[in-house]
Amino acid sequence: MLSLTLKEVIHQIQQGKICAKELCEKCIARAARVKELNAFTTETHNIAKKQASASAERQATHATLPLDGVPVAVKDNFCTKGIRTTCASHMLESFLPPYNATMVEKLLNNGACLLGKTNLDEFGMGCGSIDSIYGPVRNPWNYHFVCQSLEEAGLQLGSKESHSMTYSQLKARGIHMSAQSRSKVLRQTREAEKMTEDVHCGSDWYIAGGSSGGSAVAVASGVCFGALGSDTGGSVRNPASYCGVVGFKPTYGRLSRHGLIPLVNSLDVPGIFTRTVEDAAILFNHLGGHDVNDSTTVSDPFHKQDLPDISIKDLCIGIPKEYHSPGISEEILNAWKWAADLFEKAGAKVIQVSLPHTQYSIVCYSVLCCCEVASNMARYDGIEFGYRAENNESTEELIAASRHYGFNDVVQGRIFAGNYFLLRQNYEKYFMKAQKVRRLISEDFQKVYSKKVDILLTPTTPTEAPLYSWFSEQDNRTRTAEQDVYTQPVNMAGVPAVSVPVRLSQAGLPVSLQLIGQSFKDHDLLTVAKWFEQQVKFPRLDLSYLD
Amino acid sequence: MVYSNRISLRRLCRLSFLVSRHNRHYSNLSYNPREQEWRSVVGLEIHAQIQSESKLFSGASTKYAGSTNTQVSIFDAAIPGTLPVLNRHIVEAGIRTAAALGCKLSQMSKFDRKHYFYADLPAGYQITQQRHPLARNGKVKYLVYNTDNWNKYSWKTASIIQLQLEQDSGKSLHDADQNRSLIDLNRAGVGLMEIVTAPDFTDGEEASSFVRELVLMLRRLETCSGRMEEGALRVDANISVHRPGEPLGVRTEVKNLNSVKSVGRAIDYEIKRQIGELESGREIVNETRSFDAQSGQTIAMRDKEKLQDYRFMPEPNLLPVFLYDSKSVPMGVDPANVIITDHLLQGLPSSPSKSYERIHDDHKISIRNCVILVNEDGLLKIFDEIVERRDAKALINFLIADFLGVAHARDINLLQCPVPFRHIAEVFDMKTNRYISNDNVTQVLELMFDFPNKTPGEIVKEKELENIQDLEVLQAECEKTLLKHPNVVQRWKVGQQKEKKGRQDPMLKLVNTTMTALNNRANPLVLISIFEKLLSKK
Repeated sequence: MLSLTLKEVIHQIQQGKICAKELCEKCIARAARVKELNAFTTETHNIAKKQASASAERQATHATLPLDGVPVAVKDNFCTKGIRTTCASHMLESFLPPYNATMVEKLLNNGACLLGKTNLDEFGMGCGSIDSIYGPVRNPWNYHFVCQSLEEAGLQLGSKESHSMTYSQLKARGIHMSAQSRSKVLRQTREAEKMTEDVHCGSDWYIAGGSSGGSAVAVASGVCFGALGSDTGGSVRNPASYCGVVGFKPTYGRLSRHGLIPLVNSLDVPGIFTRTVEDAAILFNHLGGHDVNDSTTVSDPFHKQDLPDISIKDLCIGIPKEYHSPGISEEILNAWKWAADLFEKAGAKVIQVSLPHTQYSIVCYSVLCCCEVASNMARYDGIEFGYRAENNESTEELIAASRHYGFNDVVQGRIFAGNYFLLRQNYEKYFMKAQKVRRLISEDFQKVYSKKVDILLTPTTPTEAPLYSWFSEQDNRTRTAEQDVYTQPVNMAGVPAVSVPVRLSQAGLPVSLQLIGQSFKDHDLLTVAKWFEQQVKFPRLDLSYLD
Repeated sequence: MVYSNRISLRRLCRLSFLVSRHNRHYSNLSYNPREQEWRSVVGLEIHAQIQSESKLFSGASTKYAGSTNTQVSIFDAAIPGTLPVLNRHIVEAGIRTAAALGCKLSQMSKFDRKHYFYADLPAGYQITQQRHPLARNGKVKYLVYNTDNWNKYSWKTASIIQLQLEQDSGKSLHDADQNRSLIDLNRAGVGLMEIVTAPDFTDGEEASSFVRELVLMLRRLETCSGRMEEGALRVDANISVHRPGEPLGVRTEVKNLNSVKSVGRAIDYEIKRQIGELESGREIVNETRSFDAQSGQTIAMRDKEKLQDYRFMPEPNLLPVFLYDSKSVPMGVDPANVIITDHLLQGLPSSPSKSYERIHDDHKISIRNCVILVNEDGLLKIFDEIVERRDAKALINFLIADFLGVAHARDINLLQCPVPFRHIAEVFDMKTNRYISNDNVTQVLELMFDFPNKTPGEIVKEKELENIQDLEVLQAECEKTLLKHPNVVQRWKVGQQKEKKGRQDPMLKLVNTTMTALNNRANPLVLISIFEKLLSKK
């Protein structure tokens, strides 16, 4: 049941073949089995059960809502009324929003069940989902689950739920525990741990990508059928690519940001994780449209559309030559070539195009991002909400102490840099210049599209998912600069893009490619992506053996 | 209700009693030869709250004096994830104001974030329009006058550099006893227009006259209540002094002046202080000062923001504001996304200075009375409606002296005058024609407001307030008075016509006594002539 697509699940629920409550229970059970992936910051299983019961009641009266009973997860930077929304930061560790983000509201109004809030890099700053106060997210691909290891070792732990609670895992996740509870867990798991370490291949794993890694993992591991992320420089497409799911970043202005705790307001776009392109289109149909609470959403009417089956004969696919950058792996390059050939063989015109300002995207992004971060983070002073330090010497001391503890090094570093760029004497030199470069990057896309190119085909990431041990050797800034090269320019231009998994690498990890469309032609992009997906027949991850 | 039974000599002589109680004939600024060697330069930044039901970017109420923290939306409290939504009404009010102040409207204006940490600024930045304001380059003609010397007045023009929209901040209350700060966010996010003038003023009198003119203009536009005592309009003044021929001096900023009077006093004090400092060989520091209305002094504020860099950045969550007229609006533009200015710019009220000039020129009325007429909401309209075929000067005196007193005592808003204007005119006519005595005018006006459905003529008849015209009746009453007060008659005979300490003019005494006996139903001048006739016979 958990291996179905969202489209199939909706169909079966609407037909009454699957009971919403049963489905929800199954997802919760799966969530427990894969808990060690650390995809969630807050699980809302009880809420999900209530929502599923309500869905089941509507099923009984044949008055179902379009997404009734569909289990979903939401990145923990979308506000959820009365449900902790942390941005994986101490600053918001106990923040209970008084309202729902528009995206959340739309999901719930359509009958979806919220299984939890998903893990991320603090405030979305990162591309590995490892810089979270709740510890790193783990990629389910090639992952040795503890229960699996234990079973292999012929050891059965008491209840299923406790499987994932070994001390080493907690430690690896960076979860803070008191000395007392630590020793208790230690005692309980000493034996199990010994076994685990013998069986487990070290303490390493593949990263999920980020910053919306939790959402990608939740969908990939079968806990839910769709999830919300946010994409500022690739934060949806990057983890989607590493986790072998579809990651869709719509056109800027199509989906409301009201209630999305911002990273970079002018680049942030709510994104969608699903297992198939069609599933992404279904969620997109239910999420799109103008929101009076977000002035940057476009006001022209939004039409729900099903994706047609098309022939791609008249299509022109552009291959940006600048994306052949150093650092791209053989695996990715081969997959890219293979995909280009696939399009060509099917009758599409495939041409090389140029996006000459691509190389400036990273540096441009780091200026714009830091400036908006410095500004957006200014509200976290511990006064109206969020973490407040004990220091009562003066208002300034209180604010400084709260921010010092509340933010991690990455956030603090970006705040410092942003404030520097915005100083009166630096504004022209950095911010204005970066805005001009952003315009040039954006114009690159417009120029290419004006020359009859319909869609661009590029890699999503330079490699398949790296190992945690390797990834964490370098700092957040270095990794972001490496990882976001193919995704970031898209945000600069505001155009839609989708990451589609195409095949497995020799190491057995997903290899994904990115299709980039034209502004507000989201459905056209998804239609092509659906065709592409049907050709590549990616083998989705099946964790049913865990159940 | 208390009525005066006695008539002052001044009224008898039909002198205007509209002379201020402190009739000083000297300038407010004492003459100081040293100050002649200095030039002072003053520029103003005026923050005016825009009248609107809701705030600039949120739906929260803007009502004054609501309970603490009850008018706060999640956006106003800067709850993460909330976004600003521009209040169209406030933009329109800003456009009308800018146009009325002669500004050039920007076809495109944008919002910026101005960053600083303060407990009553929840977002850590204020949304304002630093780089692309709503309007620029205005000119405002204004009347400079001094209420202590109405003979000394002049016309001046001040330039407006820009008018921008921005958010108001919350309010902090520092509780020193318990070492805590209390924050009220009701005001946070209320829409302000900041009006920045060129340094076009030379002293407190000019600056305060300008502020008075501006307040009046805003009230006429109904874009700001102008209630400085409620903080609806606050003034910051930038002040410097220099010697003629030398570059401008270092300036100080006196913040948060909350009355017209404080504007004048603070600026004059600060000019004198700066001159004093410089003449004593000290330097002026670029600093922020506050004004203590009680001592009349400006005081340096504990200023941590002297070297503040506000790190301005474009507000990324708001679209630029585009203004078009119905002809210039481009094809395909959704009118919901732009502002069409045509209807906003129609029917703008004329400026107060235009009103002064018109009344002054048309009716040759004193500047003082022009000022009162124009400054009183609604009074000018009444005057304009009924002045035709009437004596303008007398009418103004009537409106200011008689009518306004009654209206004020009853707290009547003349913009929504509860009686027809022709009733007011009728009372004036009855007074002018001596159909009623001056002493009964107040009573008739009271009754006019009490019975808005009756004409004053009907009321006077009903209440028997009209003057007794029968000379025999009047003469009989005068004779009674003479009989009752032989000692006063005696004094009149020996020619004690001038007032002596503690004693009334004998004629005045006789007339007052008789008026009282007649319930003021007589023309005192008629009584005087009767008395003169009777006394000359004796």
